[in-house]
Amino acid sequence: MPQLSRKITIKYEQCTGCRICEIVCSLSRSNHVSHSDSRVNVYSFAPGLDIPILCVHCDQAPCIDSCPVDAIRKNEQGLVEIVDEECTGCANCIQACPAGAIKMHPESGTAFKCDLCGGSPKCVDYCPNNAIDYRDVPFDTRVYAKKAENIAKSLRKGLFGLEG
Amino acid sequence: MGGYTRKILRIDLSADKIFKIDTDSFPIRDYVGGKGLGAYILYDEMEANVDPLSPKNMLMFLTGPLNGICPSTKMCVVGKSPLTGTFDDSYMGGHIASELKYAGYDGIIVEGRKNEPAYIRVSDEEVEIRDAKDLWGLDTFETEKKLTSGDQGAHVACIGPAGEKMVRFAHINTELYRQAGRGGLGAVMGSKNLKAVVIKGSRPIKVEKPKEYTEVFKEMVKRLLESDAIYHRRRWGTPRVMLVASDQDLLPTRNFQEATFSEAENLGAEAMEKTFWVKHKACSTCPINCGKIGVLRRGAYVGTVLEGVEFESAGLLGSNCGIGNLEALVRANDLCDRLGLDTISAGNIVGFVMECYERGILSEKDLDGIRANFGNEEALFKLIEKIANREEIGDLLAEGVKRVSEKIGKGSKDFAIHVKGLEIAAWGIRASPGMALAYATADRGGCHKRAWPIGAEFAGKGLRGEPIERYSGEGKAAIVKHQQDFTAATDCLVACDFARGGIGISGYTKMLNLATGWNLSEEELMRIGERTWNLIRLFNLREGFTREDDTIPVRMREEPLPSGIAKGRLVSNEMLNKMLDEYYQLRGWNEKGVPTKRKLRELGLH
Repeated sequence: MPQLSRKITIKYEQCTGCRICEIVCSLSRSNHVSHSDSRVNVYSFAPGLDIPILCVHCDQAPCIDSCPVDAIRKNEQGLVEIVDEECTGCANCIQACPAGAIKMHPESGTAFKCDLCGGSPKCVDYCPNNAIDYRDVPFDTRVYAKKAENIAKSLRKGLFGLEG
Repeated sequence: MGGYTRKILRIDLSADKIFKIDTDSFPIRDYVGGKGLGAYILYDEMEANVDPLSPKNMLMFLTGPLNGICPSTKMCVVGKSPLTGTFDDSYMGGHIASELKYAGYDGIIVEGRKNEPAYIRVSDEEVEIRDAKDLWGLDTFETEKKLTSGDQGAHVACIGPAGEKMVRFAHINTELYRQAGRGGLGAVMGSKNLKAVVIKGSRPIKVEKPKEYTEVFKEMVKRLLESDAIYHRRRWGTPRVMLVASDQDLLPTRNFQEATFSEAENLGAEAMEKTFWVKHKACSTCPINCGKIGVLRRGAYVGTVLEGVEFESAGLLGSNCGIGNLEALVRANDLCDRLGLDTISAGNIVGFVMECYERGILSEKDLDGIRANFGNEEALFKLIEKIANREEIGDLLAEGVKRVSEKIGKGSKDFAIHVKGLEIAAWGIRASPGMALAYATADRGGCHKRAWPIGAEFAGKGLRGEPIERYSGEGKAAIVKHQQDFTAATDCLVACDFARGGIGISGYTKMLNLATGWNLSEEELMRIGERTWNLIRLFNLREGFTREDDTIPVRMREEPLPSGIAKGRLVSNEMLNKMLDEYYQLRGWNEKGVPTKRKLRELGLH
């Protein structure tokens, strides 16, 4: 299975929740500002935790196996791609993604997610604190493919010493 | 026309009715949004001398065309202030303003009063007035937790017990730690039986020229990140200025008796960075992340999590009450946030009570057993709780320092530190004549955010770069007028003051034009600010304010600073009057502070 040479990494404690990533993503991809059709989303949890979620293009991507029509494929660079024309909107991949990084597009009714802007992700360029980064890393970045609420739970304990 | 969603919600709580009206039905080309739009509606629709806590007062949550799409914007809340009786516009950060636009609305206008506790929930097309009996009595943290539980992405503005009990300086709270604090609009919410507004949106905000807009947006983010001043804000937030204020004799200390505090270091950014802060926090679309979230790791209040402590809160709840212990400061701030009190007014009033106690004007008996000497942390906490719940002495203190000093008399009016009833913020006056004029002429009373000429005074440069003297009144009127107009213009866009310097009027004009498709010049945008400022002046004059109200507290005019680098300084009546005459003249107002017909014609306000 091909693997990406550079991968998305996330430093959750550095995310300030500004959502500039959502703005530049939707502006550059949809020509308007919207969190609904942004390919990266920031989820907030008390007290002041912000968790960016986007597709990290897992080496072994469960979304690929979940698609009944094989509309999700890994290309030769290792990029996990959803072929929009072939997507039936069944939402299996949305269920299968361990991070919740795949969404249903509000207008087209097909699944969509981050495609790394073709190799130069805008969210990385404009993140003021480098919370989202795109680097040559030697391991499977599925460590970042976790649900936002679970990440928030561990940060609540780790950063603030709060349980629950 | 992009930028706007072009719909405003109009909710009549008395009649239980919800209307969706066109934003274009208001003169938005003349007032844009936020402060300007609020001023237009309040002046146009509300009769004079309405009791601010009656159903006739209006409460508006207003955005501007750049909310959600431009770096660093806020939510503008407008109504008539129950604390001052003036026009009041108060701003809160967080994401609620962007969310309102994602839901498809440029603003919410609330009128009337619901008989039973209620909250408003907006979710795109769906807008409801819901029952809030279960929420009444809860603090702001509990309220927000309940209203967002299982509803990821919903944003809440709510009041605490202080708002419910109509404490005249109750705030409106959002995202736990951000408030529309000043002027008591939380009490207006309480008077309407409105506990909260919950907003969730999923729609796009359109811009007229997306390609060019995207480029300018990126340029503005980069420009902010490259600035040294912004680096300071990004790293240390507002408390960075704590030591500057103390060193420069500008820090309220023991009810403004002094302006330098020996324990200021304990309350500054360096102390917080070392012992308290955990992470940075930003509002919607803001690369500055001035917010700092911390947790107390030891002591009596261990585990308390707070975003802050902002400089203004530290100045008033800390040094102004003679308190130099960071843990106690965090605790006091936490109480104010939860219970729903403006930290500035609360710290100002507690400082006043402490001075009254030390002078024997208020006894332990008057204060229900509280020994309110300066530096007494327990007294600070107890007074905050009593005020928020309007218990015993708290019921009187909840009226604000002006009314309290009028009630108790005995010379206390001379050291009640307010302008037009709004308790002054954490920038002393006697070492800054410019700031004295700024407070005297601010539209909502003793507010530090309409103009902040202290920076120009430090730099020694006037409006046109000419040399000015820090402690002289010369050249200050022009700076104050210019800054007020600029602030008013950017408040119509509901832009945050911390990004204003970096983006500037040119940046805002560019973004506004690309978003809306307008072709506004920088001068026209400044003129919108000036028009708004003048309209608010007309509002306040109609409410009965006069030149006599454009003043500063007696202490600032008659008691020289007792210590610090500006020892012996004050802003005399003579100095103030001279600056005021010059200011009125520059504004095109007559000597009584009334805009001339000519000025009004020029601004299209006749």
